[in-house]
Amino acid sequence: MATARDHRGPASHGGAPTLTGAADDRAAEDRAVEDPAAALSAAAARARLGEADSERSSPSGNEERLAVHAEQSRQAVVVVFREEAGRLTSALMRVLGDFSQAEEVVQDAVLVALERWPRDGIPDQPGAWLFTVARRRALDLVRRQSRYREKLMQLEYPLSQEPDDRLRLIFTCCHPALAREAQVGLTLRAVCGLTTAEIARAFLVSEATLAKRLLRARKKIVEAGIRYRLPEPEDLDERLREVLAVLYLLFNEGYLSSGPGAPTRRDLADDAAWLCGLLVKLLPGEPEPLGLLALMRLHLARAASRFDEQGQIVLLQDQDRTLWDRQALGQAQALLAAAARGRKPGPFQLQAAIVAVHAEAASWSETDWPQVLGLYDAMLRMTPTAVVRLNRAVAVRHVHGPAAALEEVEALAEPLGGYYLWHAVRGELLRALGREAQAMAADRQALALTQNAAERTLLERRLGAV
Amino acid sequence: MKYMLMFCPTEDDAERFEQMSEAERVRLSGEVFAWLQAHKVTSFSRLQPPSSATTIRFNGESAPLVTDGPFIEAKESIGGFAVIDAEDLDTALKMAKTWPPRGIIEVRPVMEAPQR
Repeated sequence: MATARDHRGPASHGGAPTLTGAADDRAAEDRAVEDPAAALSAAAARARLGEADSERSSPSGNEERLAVHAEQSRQAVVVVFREEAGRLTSALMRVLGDFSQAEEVVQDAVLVALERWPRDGIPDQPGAWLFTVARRRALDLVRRQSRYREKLMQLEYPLSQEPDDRLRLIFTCCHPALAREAQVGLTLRAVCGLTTAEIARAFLVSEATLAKRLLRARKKIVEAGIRYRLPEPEDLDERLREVLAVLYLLFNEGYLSSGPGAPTRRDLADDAAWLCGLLVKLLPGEPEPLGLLALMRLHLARAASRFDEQGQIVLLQDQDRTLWDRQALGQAQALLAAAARGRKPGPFQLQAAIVAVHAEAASWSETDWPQVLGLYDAMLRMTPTAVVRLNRAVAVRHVHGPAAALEEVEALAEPLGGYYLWHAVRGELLRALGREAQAMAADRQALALTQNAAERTLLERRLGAV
Repeated sequence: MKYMLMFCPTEDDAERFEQMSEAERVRLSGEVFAWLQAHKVTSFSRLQPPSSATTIRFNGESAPLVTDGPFIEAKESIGGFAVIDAEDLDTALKMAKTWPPRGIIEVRPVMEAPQR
């Protein structure tokens, strides 16, 4: 899991004081005030160094070690919450029969931990500690209902869950009757143990807005009768697609924003990869989660070459392939091979296979384009969307030439005319065909249609280069 | 739980129904009837088109205002509704997905008297 960070360098460390370098101690402390996780890590680090928990301990030669400890202890908390939050929510859900209550009780326990642990140190048995606090809260909640009280008192730590109940939890959080953003938020809170504040910061919305969204979703689960259960076998594929879409969105959100621009945000790509790994464990017979995990790992293994020194996105064709983590790429490819043995191809396995073909090529020009095109053909049969067709056109260019590709792209004008990437791809093909004026016009259209800073810079560079 | 299914034919559906032959209509009605029986639906009604609607608006202390037409001007409008009994939302959605005339369906839980 930590590999994701290691390859990306210090810029992507989320939340902890390490991100600006220990010299910026003051700023880190300021941030800690509004960020309990950072406060926790900073305080725990001080505690380990044998310093009193006094304000603004002098920045000394310990800075480096402090930063390292802070990051370690932040990681420790992440691990504890991930390990415990989902199981705890599942267990309480079973007793209380009310998703909203169970989820809220666990969130409360997480918040209490984030308040106490920096002050008192991380307890020896953090899982048991969380359990005790959560159960106490739950008992408060059902004060007058002896039926629930008895059941709660019978709960013991460690929670035995055979089979692992978190699968039901994941399917409930990602129920198709919930809005995508709510699915994402609920999954992060209930399964990974993130706080509302952390999620809000990661998605650049105010905490109040996010809290309102999550409240609405929790209410809907209860009111609309979304049961805490596994999907029927005949619905499993459809429901699994929904879960995987949530995880992939989460991953992309983290991966695309993990550049130098947004260093204080939690590493959602890491959370997504963890969740996907959990799903693989809980659904061992399904190859698509494995395909998605392979896809995530393949992306992460190439993360080091994604940005140049100025922090600008580097396109795959221009990336320095010596920066890729060959070992991680190999491991990801092994996952993909394991998925293929399931003999049930799916969009994520195909996408991972395409990325794997690129990963195997020594350079952009040595890419096995016919194989890429074949994989896109397969994907098109599975998901015949205009966007897949557009991506396929790029492979067409390298197999059949830019004129053939342009023909494919022009045919997509109607569905994709408002999509910046359609114009950008079209511009590139026109340029390859020497139709410079039309290429410029297409690039300008693309520029007008995207707000994404990195994409804009790229297009501006292209326009300026001519 | 009880859910109300609000059936809302799209413009395309409306056109399709218009162009149906008598035999096709009879067949579709038969399918709807079978669906209602299969799901033990006791409460089902179809509505006259929105052009037949009259809207009353209460506005402060003044007398209620009566106007011609539906209260929301929308391309789609509810053409009928059924109240079904379903164990949970998944079951209700599964039922709704087999509704023979297709179109758009809003599924909403019916508020029940609090038991606790």
